Amino acid sequence: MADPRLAEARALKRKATALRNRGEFKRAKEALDEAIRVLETPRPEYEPTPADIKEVRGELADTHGMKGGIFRRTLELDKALTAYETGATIEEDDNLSTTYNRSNVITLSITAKGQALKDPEIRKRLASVIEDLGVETAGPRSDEWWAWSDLAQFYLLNGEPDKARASYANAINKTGATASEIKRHVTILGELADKITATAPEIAASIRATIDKLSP
Amino acid sequence: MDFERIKRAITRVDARDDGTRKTGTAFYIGGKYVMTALHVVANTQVRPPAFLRSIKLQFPDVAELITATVVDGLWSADGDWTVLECETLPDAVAIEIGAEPALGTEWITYGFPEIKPTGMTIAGKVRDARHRPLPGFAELPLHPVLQLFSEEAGAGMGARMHGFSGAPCLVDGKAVGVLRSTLIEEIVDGQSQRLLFTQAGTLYATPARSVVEWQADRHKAILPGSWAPPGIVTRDFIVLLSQQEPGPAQQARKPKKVALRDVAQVAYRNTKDSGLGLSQPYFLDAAEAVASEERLRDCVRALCNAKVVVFDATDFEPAIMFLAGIRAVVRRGLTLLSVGGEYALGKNLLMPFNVIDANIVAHSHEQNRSAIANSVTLLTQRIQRGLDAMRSPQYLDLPVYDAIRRLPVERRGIIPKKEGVLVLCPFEEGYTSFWDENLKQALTNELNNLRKEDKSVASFGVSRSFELNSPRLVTHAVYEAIRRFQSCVIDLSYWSANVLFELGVRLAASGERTACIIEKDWEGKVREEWLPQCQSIESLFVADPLKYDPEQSWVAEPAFCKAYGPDEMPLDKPLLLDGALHALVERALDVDLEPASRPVVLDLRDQAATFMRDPKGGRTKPGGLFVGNPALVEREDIADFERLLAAWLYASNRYTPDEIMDDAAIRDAVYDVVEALFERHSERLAAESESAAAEMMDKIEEWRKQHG
Repeated sequence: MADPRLAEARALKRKATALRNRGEFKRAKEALDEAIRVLETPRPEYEPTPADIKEVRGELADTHGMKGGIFRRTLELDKALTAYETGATIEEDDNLSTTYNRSNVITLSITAKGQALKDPEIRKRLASVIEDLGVETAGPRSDEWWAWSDLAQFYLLNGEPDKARASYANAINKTGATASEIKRHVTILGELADKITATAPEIAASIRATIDKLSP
Repeated sequence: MDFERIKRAITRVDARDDGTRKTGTAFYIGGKYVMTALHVVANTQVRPPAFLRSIKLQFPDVAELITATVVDGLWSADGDWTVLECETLPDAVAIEIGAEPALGTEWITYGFPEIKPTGMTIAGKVRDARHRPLPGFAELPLHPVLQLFSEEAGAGMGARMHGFSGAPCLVDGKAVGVLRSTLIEEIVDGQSQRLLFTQAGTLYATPARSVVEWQADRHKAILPGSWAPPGIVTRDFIVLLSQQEPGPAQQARKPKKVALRDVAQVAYRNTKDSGLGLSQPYFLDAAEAVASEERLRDCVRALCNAKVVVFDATDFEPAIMFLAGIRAVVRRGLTLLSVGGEYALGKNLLMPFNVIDANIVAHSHEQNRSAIANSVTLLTQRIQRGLDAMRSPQYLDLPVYDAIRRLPVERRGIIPKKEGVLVLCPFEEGYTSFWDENLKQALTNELNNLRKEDKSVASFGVSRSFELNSPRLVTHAVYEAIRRFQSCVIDLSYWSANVLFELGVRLAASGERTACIIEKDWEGKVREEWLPQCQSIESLFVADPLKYDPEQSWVAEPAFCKAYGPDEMPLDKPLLLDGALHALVERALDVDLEPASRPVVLDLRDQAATFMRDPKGGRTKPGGLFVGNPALVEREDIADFERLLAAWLYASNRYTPDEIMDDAAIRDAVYDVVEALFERHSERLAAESESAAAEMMDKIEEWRKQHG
């Protein structure tokens, strides 16, 4: 028997995704807020196991990440970053296997906040997330497109194009990514390349070369 | 028998409606209920019967009439019985139900015939307790009846018995039947009036047990006391215990074995609050379940109904395997095989071929010491996970259910006995020479006799399960054959677990002839603790002429040609071999759970799900097997979309929005479909479909909000 909060929150997240894709961003956000409330409210009738607690925290981090995604679409980038940071804190504090929020914090810090690649905070975050993703892609997330593509993207930002290429090869061969997933990733790469062209032209060039290879 | 007391429980019935008037008899069965013949209170010439609106009951020595009404749905047109609910409680002692009477048993009744409306007693003897009229004669329905003889009924030119209908046929003070009709001769008198006279003193009664069976088939206990079906048929959690289950004697010994009863009881307690909605477990010794035809019938009904059945598979006892075979056919429920004794998960276990794929659980001290989980945790988790997984239409925990139902269209028909006979028999080493030298020869000879006029080769011949010459998986080929062969011979000698399982499958899945044979001296060879259950199974399924001497040459052994061939013996007794068990399953199975009942929209949704990539933020997992092949990945993505779209187009064209909202299963399925379309394929949706689907999603959301 799983923690009953999980099923309820997952249903709300599915609904939120559907609403988001319908362009109903307000209702999507309301569904995610409700999911966060569900996940943060313990059920007196159920005693969660440590594994349950970790799973609930994982869903909570993921839900904040989804909220960040909606704010990003509505171009409320500050709120998006705040939501990702909330999720990233949970990922770090709870030593979760997901890096979705941390990855987005790095990307958005560069594309929205204009932080430079050389910024020590960015470098620190990059190193940490590359390390975690390296472990995760060798294990439980070895079949996940976003894990491999994030890892590849961060290798690119870290000036390690060979490792990035190897990661992309795995992303394509091991995860069955759909064209729309690849397209979404390419859009992010494009935003990054545009933002760092002036400050890190070599890295921007290697990102653009990657975009060419990934695009159909 | 206190006949005066019984008479006070028998009432005259006066039913009227717009100029129609009927009279008859009824009897008190407890609570507020009385039993009568349906035709006493309804016009049974029309279907459904037209009930008369005013029903009054007059009990002996009671001045006031009691008003009664027909209990909603509690009637049978074929059985010609119904139950009435009294407005006030009758002042009488309820008449209990009696067991099926033996031939020649004396019976008595009291009723209110037109020839003596103030009350009359008649008596006689039971001539046939299971009279089944030949089809094609309209005199009686095919429903089995009690054929009764009465001197009073046959006296003179034959008494006019009208008005006795609905009276109890009493044996030792208990009702064994409900009088329904007589063998009649019709005479038109001088005033052109039809007069009906009883011929040969013969009356017919519906067996009282059919009222209990009617409830049992529907898994309901409506009537009180002995008129209610046994508790097992209404439970959804059944535990079938083996002879290895520690009883009171074994409990005293050290070390005690772990009892499945205790493990299941705690597992039930563990799951009670988790919203699974299971009833208390009902424990039954499998040996008891096969101890009589009546008990077996109740157990089969329970196997059709129960959400969860746990079999004690320790040593794979004959009765357990037989019942597991039935269960495997009748319901896609949760079925668990638990092995006790010294067994723990991970240890070697010699599994019967038919259940080799089943996921065994264990109840034992070894299991309790295991690092995997103790016996209780193991069973609790299996029940919880199983009930969750069972929601999928692909869920299987025994191999038969789909294999026996989903046959290709060209391979569903009966295989006539002239084309071959299926033999389900042991494959033990000692049996091989008997098979080669005797049984195979005998049955081949009978097949040749059946085909005397036909020079061609029989399509299937005499085939054992491994000799079916099919390219299909062995289990699938066997279950197909079990379903299709018109003639099946099952050799119970050796009491092989596989053969018993296949016997259960055959009897549940096929209404065709199944002849069980067995060697004569089997009792000395079977394990002592199995002897009673094997004797029960033998008495249920093996007719005396089908017992053979394995030492005898087949040429001199008559049992084989009585089992199959031109001289095969009729198998009307024992009844369960003549399609009766199959017919029982037909009545008792849960139609709503059969694949044909599944709404198309759910099937399409589930088909789509087999291709979908689960889009969970940064944790999307691949849907297919060959994820490095982009063309295939693309096809799978489209396959998911096309099926979801088909589901939506079907639902939105097949049902009106109100119809979708009114049916919980359709409503939830449609919501899942449109949600998944927007979740995974919003870019692919055409504008028109998109707006209609969005509207439906919002409508269902609103409904859910309003209905909590």
